[in-house]
Amino acid sequence: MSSDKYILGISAFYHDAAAAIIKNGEIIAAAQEERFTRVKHDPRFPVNAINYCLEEAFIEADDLEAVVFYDHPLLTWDRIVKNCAMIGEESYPTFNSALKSVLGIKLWVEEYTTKAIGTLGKTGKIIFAGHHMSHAASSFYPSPFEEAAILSLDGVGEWSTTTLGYGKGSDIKVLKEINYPHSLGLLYSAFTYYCGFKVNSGEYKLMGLAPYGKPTYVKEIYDHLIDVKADGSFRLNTDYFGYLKGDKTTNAKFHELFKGEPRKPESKITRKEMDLAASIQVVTEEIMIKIARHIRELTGSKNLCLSGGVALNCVANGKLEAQKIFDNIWIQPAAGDAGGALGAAFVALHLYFKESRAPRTGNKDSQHGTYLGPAFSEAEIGAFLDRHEYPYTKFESDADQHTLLAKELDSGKILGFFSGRMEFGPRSLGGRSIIGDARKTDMQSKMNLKIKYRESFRPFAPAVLAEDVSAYFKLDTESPYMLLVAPVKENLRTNVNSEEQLKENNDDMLGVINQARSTIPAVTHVDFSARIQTVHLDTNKRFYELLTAFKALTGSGVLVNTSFNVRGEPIVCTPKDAYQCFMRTEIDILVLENFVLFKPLQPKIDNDENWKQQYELD
Amino acid sequence: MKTGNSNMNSTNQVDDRIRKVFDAMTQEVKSGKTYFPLHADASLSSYYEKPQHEAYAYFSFIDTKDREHLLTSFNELWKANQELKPVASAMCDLAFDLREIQGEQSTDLSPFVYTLY
Repeated sequence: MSSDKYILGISAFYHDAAAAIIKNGEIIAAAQEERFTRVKHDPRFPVNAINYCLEEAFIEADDLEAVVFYDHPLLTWDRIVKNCAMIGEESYPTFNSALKSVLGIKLWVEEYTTKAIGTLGKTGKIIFAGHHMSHAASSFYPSPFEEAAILSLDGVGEWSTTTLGYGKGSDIKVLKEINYPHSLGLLYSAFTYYCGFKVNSGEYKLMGLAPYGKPTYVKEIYDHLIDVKADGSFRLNTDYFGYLKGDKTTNAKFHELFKGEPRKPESKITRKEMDLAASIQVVTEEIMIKIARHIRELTGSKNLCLSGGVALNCVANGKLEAQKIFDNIWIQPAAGDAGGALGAAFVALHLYFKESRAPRTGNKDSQHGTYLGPAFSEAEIGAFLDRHEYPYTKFESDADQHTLLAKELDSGKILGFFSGRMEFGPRSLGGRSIIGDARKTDMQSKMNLKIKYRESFRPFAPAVLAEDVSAYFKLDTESPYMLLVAPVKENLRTNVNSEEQLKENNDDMLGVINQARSTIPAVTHVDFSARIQTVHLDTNKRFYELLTAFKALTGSGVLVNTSFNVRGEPIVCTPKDAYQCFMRTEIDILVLENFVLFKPLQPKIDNDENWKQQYELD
Repeated sequence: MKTGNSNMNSTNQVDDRIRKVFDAMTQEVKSGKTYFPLHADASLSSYYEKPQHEAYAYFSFIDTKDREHLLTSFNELWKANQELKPVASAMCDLAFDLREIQGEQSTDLSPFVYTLY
């Protein structure tokens, strides 16, 4: 009998359901359910992701040592009950809805698990890991650090919204916390909603909007909405928020403070939204930096592990990195609730089973580049293409393939790039990416309008050879997970002054979006910042070699990298998903491992005109 | 676990029972009872707290084998909240009954998703 300890972690029922499996502390697989069901942010019990994890681990469900859920439904219920009891009659609709949801569905994780895989593992019962402990574990255990300060920041998990901890070896201790309703995540979400974006997914847009604005509302925020102590701890003034009483994050008093009703989704973005975005971004950064200073002092550690939805704010992360409060920062790439599945598995291994953590050696994490999802073999891809008679060129030599693709990129072609295992987490990192030449002045608008089908104010992210990052950006550390924002170097910038133009154009944001602000304009934001991905040979050889070939041909080691999907669609998972996205958009070339497909040679897809209705706008 | 549509009668009955639990709960919790602060406090030098729910912070279990075991979990949860214990039993009953009548999981995100339910 094998003594290997396989543990399955699950997150579900809220948003971005996911599963992860570890074997003796090594991450074997992890994936979000949405990638399989093709429903964005799918919250349902992740049957498909679980089955994939079991297949990847090459085990039967009976071989599982334990199944772990990343949240404690009864503790969440405790919060809801006490919230509603305090509020009284006004909260009845919330109570009714929450009772059905928490006691009617979420409490029964064991039944969902048994129905899905026929077992609860050898422990015979579900282990419930604490929500913030799952986040903390997801950032500490895979990190390169033997010991580290651990900070988790999100909307809310059970009661906690902010957790300060310390990890050493196999152990994690929670040191301090801030509890509901006082939440940096909920504060940011309130502005997300008020500015007309979707809560839980639109935060990224608000962050991207911030550089267009001026932080003119910072004083109002500090004066009315949040009180922050010197150690970074904070309390909200709940008079201004709607979430204690109903399903909206803001209320009339909030709207009165900012002089108007929330912006209607998809309506014109005005100067007000830009300034609000800039203001809440500044406040978020200032608080994160204060908390970071405090936890540094509290733990004495020179290493920081970061997780929770707020840790996806890569602009704030970049500011934190630049402060050099810590020598090293590691951020879980699936920092949101999906990553809780991975963390929960680690909680069971190290805290419940008390298994030792392998000593850390070198500076590499054990996240495997977060390429933890399904891969497809040459035989599988070939069979798919042959079955449908899709014309392709198959390369026996990687070098020949990269040389050809580099030439195509240099000529302005856009590639759908499908390579190796799918990414775990919200970012595409060269496993399932759309890529183009960052030097082309029309690349941003072309990708936005003809491929992503959006007119976005958000720039695309650069993928850069790890060893070249400091040549292009003011960043002296790795950013393999696209979680750090840093400025483009001055010597690469043009004389375009977007700030002046924004003033002149008042709120005509679109007028400045597509201007060439640097020699890599497609990835340079209005404030000259860039959301950087460093590409590494040891985690994505094919992408690294393509970048190398492109650099050899053009002298530029930077490519645009955006997620392989259209707006509202989950990132592609299979060759079929990739082919469908390729054919529905103006992507020029599809790369499926060593197969290359050219658009003009492909047969037309019949009866596919209404495909956009499949996807709800994000 | 049953799946499928719950009928209108059972939905109404459940809503009536939820209403009763809510009324009982709000009666038990004396008016003005506070479980958490709602505003800033100038007298404090820090808003950080020691971990409030250590028994659940790392890992724990919920025994849903039967109603009595679940009630034990509720009572454990609310051992410091005597005012909530009287409604725990009705909540357990609802949990078991709702398990039977809940339909298929929805792909839609809850409007309350940002506060995790």
